[in-house]
Amino acid sequence: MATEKVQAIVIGAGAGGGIVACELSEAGIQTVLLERGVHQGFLDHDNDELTSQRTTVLGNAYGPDNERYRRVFEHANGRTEILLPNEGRYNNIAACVGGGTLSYGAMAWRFMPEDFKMKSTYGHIDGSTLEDWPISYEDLEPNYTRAEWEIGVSGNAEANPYSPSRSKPYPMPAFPYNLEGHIIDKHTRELGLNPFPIPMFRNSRPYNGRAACIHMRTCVGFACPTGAKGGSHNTVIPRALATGNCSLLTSCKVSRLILDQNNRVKGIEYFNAEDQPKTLLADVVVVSASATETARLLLNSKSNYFPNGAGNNYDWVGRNLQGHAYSGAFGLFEEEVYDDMGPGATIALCDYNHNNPGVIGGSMLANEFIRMPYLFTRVRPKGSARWGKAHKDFQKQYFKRHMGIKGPVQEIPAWEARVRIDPEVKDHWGIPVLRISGQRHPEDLKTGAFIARKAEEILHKCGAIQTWQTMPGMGVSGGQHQAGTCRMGNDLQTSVTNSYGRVHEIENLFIADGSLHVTNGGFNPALTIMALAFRVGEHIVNAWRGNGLGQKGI
Amino acid sequence: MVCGAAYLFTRCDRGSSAWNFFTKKEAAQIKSLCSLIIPADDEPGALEANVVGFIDKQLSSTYSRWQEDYRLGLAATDATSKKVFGKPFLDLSPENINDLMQRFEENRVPEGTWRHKNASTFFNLLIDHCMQGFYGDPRHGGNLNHVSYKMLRLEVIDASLIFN
Ligand SMILES: Cc1cc2nc3c(=O)[nH]c(=O)nc-3n(C[C@H](O)[C@H](O)[C@H](O)COP(=O)(O)OP(=O)(O)OC[C@H]3O[C@@H](n4cnc5c(N)ncnc54)[C@H](O)[C@@H]3O)c2cc1C
Repeated sequence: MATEKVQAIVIGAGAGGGIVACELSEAGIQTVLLERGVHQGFLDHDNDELTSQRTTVLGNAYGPDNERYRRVFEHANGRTEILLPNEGRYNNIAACVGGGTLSYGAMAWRFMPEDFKMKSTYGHIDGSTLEDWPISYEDLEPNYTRAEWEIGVSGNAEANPYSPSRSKPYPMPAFPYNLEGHIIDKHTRELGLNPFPIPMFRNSRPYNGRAACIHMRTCVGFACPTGAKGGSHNTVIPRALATGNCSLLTSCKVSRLILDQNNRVKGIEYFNAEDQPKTLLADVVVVSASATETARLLLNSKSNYFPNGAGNNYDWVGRNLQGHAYSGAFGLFEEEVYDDMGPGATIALCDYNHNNPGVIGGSMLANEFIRMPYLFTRVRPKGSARWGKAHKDFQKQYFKRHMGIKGPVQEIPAWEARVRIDPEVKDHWGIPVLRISGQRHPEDLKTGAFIARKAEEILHKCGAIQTWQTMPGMGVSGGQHQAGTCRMGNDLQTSVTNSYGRVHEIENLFIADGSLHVTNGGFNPALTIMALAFRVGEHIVNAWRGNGLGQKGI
Repeated sequence: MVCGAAYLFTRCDRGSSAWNFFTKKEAAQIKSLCSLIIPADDEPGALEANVVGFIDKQLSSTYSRWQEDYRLGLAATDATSKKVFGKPFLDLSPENINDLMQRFEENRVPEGTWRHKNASTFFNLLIDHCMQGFYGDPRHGGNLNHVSYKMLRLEVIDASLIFN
């Protein structure tokens, strides 16, 4: 039987992959979108904090499962440890149709112009691979607008004085503040700061055939019961399928890219839902498996020309793993500040993101998503009793009388913070798994200390009776905001793809996910991942010549 | 390596034990410990919320990787009790148990009693599992009748109503 061949393959139905599949199939390109997970909805894990994608102590509600997946963690002293997917150091996002966008908190941030030129703004930083992006904010602006309108974002562009220039307003008005938001708004204004409503991938009114948000407490970490939270699963993927040009294959685990002897990818190998090995050929392949898994696929795909993995002749694949050095503070209050209006995060400010003397980068600061009852047992000032009556009294007293403010502190990329292939451990399908190793750059902790101090100042001003700071350790980052492992660039010796996400030296292999980020901004990354995916998709469509990629613009 | 949860231990005393993983004696020990980790006051505590049932259920499924920690940890708890108080753990008064738990937390235990793991490592694990059982969703066996949600005055969301 002849091996099946299609025009385009997209690997991973998450934030990036869903968008590229939609772009290609709407342009008439026959596309197969492969996803290792399945379709999931709210009722699969309603109200279940212990499996929510945010807490995961009893497993990942939206995948991957603990039975079939493994990773290896390498400690600073070289000791290794096998990890299950629900453990924090596994650095998971999700495995389901929609990827992270099914259960994310839905903050929809544009990066600032400085975020695309960190090196020219702040200079070289010792011990880092800090670099400018090969594109500017202005280059990406039209695609940010597309992402905001096609996924659906509620926000108020005028309210943030540090907002970069925009070609269009948000498609929906911003959400009102919750009680915490009102308190923070009043007091930060008095401090001379500039608070504003967080832009969200949630409908503040019915939009594009989907309902308005009903403010579930169980929002971040959960699928949305009404579809008001927009992700790839309920926007671009249904659009792709409606064209008739796209088939979505779920429970399909891609194991390897098939490279030819020169500079082309011929197709992929995968395991179908029945765990049978399959081969699928294509004219163009797009990898959108998330920053960790995309690197794994490339590294597991070798040829004579690429003995160290696809696109990896200069050892950049899997390097510069970044997330965010989340820093902030908690405060306890005399009065109740909890109003049960989900998801809880409503207000942010960008005063401490760039242009603060002595600080490299920074972050936006926002009030925290609702802490569910179990998660709240971990919210304690240093030295608190962790059990006994004192524990219980604290829960009762402060569950509705505490607030958190924190920010996704921009990380300085480090060469040794990385994923590679473990020489021994394999997953259920026999595919070699990732080994995660390295440390963050020390600069992150300096910036984190600045941000935590500012968060604490704000909580004090808001009337907190006790406050304490929260800071990350030196351990390698990544997590749900993972990025940077296949950075874009103009030089094939110091980057993995060109400015359109095309892998250097492989003319028909593209990447469209968080891997591409040269740096990861002081913001949650999904909107930027989506904007880049539109850019990659548009580029492939422009270069498409009926039965394959022409030479134009590649 | 092989993936998948493996049963490392089977129950020793099959008898009439209603437990999946614990022996009767172990269950009694865990009960004593949990009753002090989240005590009952004017609100129910860990025992009323069925936290012991929750931990037992998880140990025979999701928590199977911690079976050994529990089995050896509870044996070491008994050994520590005998060394410190001269009697088995189950004969201790609540004051004695409280004292023992503080020692575990600070790792102040007689030499030779905790060989496989630190006492504090085991105690931290137990505290965390106890919190999960008390505050998590009842579908996993703990937080019976949503007692902790009632304690926190948190409305219980009935998912079926959202879809009506
Ligand atoms: C609880 C939570 C809250 C979050 N909150 C926010 C927020 O408020 N704002 C924000 O901007 N971001 C947020 N994020 C992060 C955001 O979801 C991610 O940044 C984004 O989804 C990453 O996009 P991606 O395309 O790189 O990868 P993903 O969205 O993870 O998509 C990758 C897809 O590829 C699939 N895949 C991987 N390997 C294979 C394979 N070998 N074969 C087949 N399929 C494969 C995966 O199953 C997955 O579906 C949150 C994430 C989580 C989990």
